[in-house]
Amino acid sequence: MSYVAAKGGEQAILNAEALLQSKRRGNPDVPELSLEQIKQQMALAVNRVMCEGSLYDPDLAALAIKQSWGDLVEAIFLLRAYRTTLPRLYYSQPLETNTMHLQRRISAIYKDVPGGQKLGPSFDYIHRLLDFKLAAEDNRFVTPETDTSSESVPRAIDALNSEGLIQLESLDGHNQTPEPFDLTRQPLQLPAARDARLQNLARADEGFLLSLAYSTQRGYGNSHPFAGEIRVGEVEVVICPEELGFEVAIADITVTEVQMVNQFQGHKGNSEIRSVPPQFTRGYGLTFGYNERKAMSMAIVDRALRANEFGEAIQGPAQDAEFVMSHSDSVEAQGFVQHLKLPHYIDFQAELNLVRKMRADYKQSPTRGIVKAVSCSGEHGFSKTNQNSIRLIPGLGVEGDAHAGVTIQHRSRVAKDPSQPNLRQVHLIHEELHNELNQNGFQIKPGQMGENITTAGIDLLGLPVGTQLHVGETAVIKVTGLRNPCQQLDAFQEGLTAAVLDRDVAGNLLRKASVMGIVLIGGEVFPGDRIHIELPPNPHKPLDRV
Amino acid sequence: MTPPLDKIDIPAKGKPSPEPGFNFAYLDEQTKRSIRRALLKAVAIPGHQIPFGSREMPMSYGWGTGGIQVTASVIGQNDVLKVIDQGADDTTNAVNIRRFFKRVCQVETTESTAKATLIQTRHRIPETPLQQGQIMVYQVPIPEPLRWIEPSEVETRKMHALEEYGPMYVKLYEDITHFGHIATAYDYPVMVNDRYMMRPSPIPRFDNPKLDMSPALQLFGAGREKRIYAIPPYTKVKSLDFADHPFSVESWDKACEFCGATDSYLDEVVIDNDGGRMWICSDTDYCSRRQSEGEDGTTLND
Repeated sequence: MSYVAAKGGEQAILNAEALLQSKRRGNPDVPELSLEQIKQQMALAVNRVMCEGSLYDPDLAALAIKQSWGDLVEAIFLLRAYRTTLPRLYYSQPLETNTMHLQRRISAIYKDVPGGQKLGPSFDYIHRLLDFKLAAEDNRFVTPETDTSSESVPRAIDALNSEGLIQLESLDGHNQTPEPFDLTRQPLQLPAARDARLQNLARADEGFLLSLAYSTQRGYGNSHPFAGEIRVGEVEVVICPEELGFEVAIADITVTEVQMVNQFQGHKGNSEIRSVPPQFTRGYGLTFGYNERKAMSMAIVDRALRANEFGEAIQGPAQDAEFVMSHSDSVEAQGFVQHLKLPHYIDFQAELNLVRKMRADYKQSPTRGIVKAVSCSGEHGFSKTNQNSIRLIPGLGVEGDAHAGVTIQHRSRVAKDPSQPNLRQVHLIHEELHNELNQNGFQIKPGQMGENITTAGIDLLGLPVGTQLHVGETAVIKVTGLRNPCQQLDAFQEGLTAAVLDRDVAGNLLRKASVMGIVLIGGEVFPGDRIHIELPPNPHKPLDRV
Repeated sequence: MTPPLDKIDIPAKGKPSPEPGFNFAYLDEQTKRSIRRALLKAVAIPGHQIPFGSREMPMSYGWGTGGIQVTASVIGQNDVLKVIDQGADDTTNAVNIRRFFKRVCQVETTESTAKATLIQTRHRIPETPLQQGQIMVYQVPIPEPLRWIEPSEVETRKMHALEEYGPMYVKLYEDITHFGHIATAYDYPVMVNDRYMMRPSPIPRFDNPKLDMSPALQLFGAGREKRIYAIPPYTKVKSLDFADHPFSVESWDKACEFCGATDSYLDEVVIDNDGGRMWICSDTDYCSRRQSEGEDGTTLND
């Protein structure tokens, strides 16, 4: 059966995997990539995968890149899924980044800083010209001699500390339990403390963070950042196992640390808030590996997310912690966006059923129409004058119209009983009647048969008594009954009375002229306004003379 | 009837999986325990969403990782697993998830609803009534019923705590004023045990009545959103409605082309380029069982 083809079996999945493996390898005459090549020559890709994969292991990251055919988001996913199976043995001691063995260190807020500026390997001042020499293989490059002193260099922005010019980093706003929050083991709960936020940002998709950081610079939550310090280098990871009781260094890892210096905070205290003199604020970014653009973005977004803490108005997406943290993870985002590829035909079938039912309902009762013309006349007469708009007044009718009033205004009715309620406040004719009459040789324009509102698209005569017509922005008219065609029509144009009267198969008189209504809710009505029909509850009663 | 004690399946502890290098059912025992703790909480508060430390799985978020983690936490060596997607055992995603559990648990799998002890599903509840002792595991994309009304999790948590469900009724009322009826075809919200509003996962509303007073334990896992919730056996589950607009399910004026069923959820299958259609059961097990029992739909439809 053809439908079976839409579903896949295990064999199809296996074939897809085999095909992917073969495509990924490419032409077997071309030498295969080695993990060492990826690790060495695509080190920045490896760094990104380690950082967002939350696992510092260049070999596994290189394998993930090879396995993912160069798709870094897929490689990050592979590393994360593997990470799930690893036990959490220890938490390290806090990294001492001021003892970092520096590859690169720059500060944009001072011309020179203790310890000096150090560009290190950087694209920053490279002319981005495609290097065609590089296309050839067997390139050899010489490492220039640089200062490799490994003494610890104090952080550039510590100079601001000594004057109290910058807000101190403290554990305020962090989870105060002895152990830090662990995003890899615990569900993120909102509102989240800063330690949870920083963990989320460290794993966040680089592109997402970059755009958010950029948005703050373009006015969506500006916090005026300066690059206080960017440093890249190796730090020691130290654990202190309880069973040993002393610290053990287990690894050296490369990290990128960014401290942003942002605009001022501070306030004169009142009873609730401690007085703080004006001072700079900070944003912090830390990533595995040499990952500078990501670390800078992280620091800017970290600062933006502190809006609450500093009493700033939340105006941009980058300041909205729930928005940022719920959408930052590429593993989550890629999965949910791509899950739309899965079969959804059950829900689609349910939607098909629903939309078909809605269309059937729509066809059954044309619930929409339009106002073609509005007319009103202050004097009793047969025709009314076209207007740019008319104003409906609840319980009365059309403002300024001779037929508006609480009690009946039509002279023939007034003559019988002037105290009867006015059920003929608004007079409506459907344009289709005019068209029909004009085809039969009459010459009729909107308003000439005395209607206030000329409609199109609605079978006015077929509406049940009590139907509410929602017209324009606010007005609601309740349909009360039919106009009784009289000799005045003949006075207007010869034969018109007969033309709007008919008899049904049973011989009952049919009045085809127009309908009357009362104003429930007032409002202004313009030509072109939409008319929405609200039918009364069942049982429906056909319109009769009113 | 409760299964005898020696038949109750204790989840296997630390048993190596058939796949070298991985634990039984992929997750480590600590993680499974933490998920089972969340499940116990969820059963204790029917319909209430419990946060859990969801892990990255070897399948993408959004592809059933919540259900997979719930299944991995409760599955034991003696379980018989059935996996369906869109009601069918042979859709790619169902095949893939079943393949995964075969690989990391080597448990028996089945396509028969009656034979399964554990059924993981996406978008359907089987037509064959569930029995006591069975566990249904639902894959949930968005667990929060109020999400389209209020995007903030902080706010929706408050709304649940205060039982502030008025905005949902307003939304349903607006549907009625616009369309004459409630315009939600699937993932139709329910009240569980008269207390918590819950999303039943994107099952068609046709399946909603099956949630009510079900003898089976029903577990819901949302991996990406990191939430678990549950409907214990024999719990009242009511689809939202109004006294003058009672809840109703869709019906077809057709019967299944293969088995003639008129009581099952039918898929519309386009069979040619001229808009030709046929209608068949979405529940492949139900349909093939009826066919093998000698029911034949073609004569009914002609």
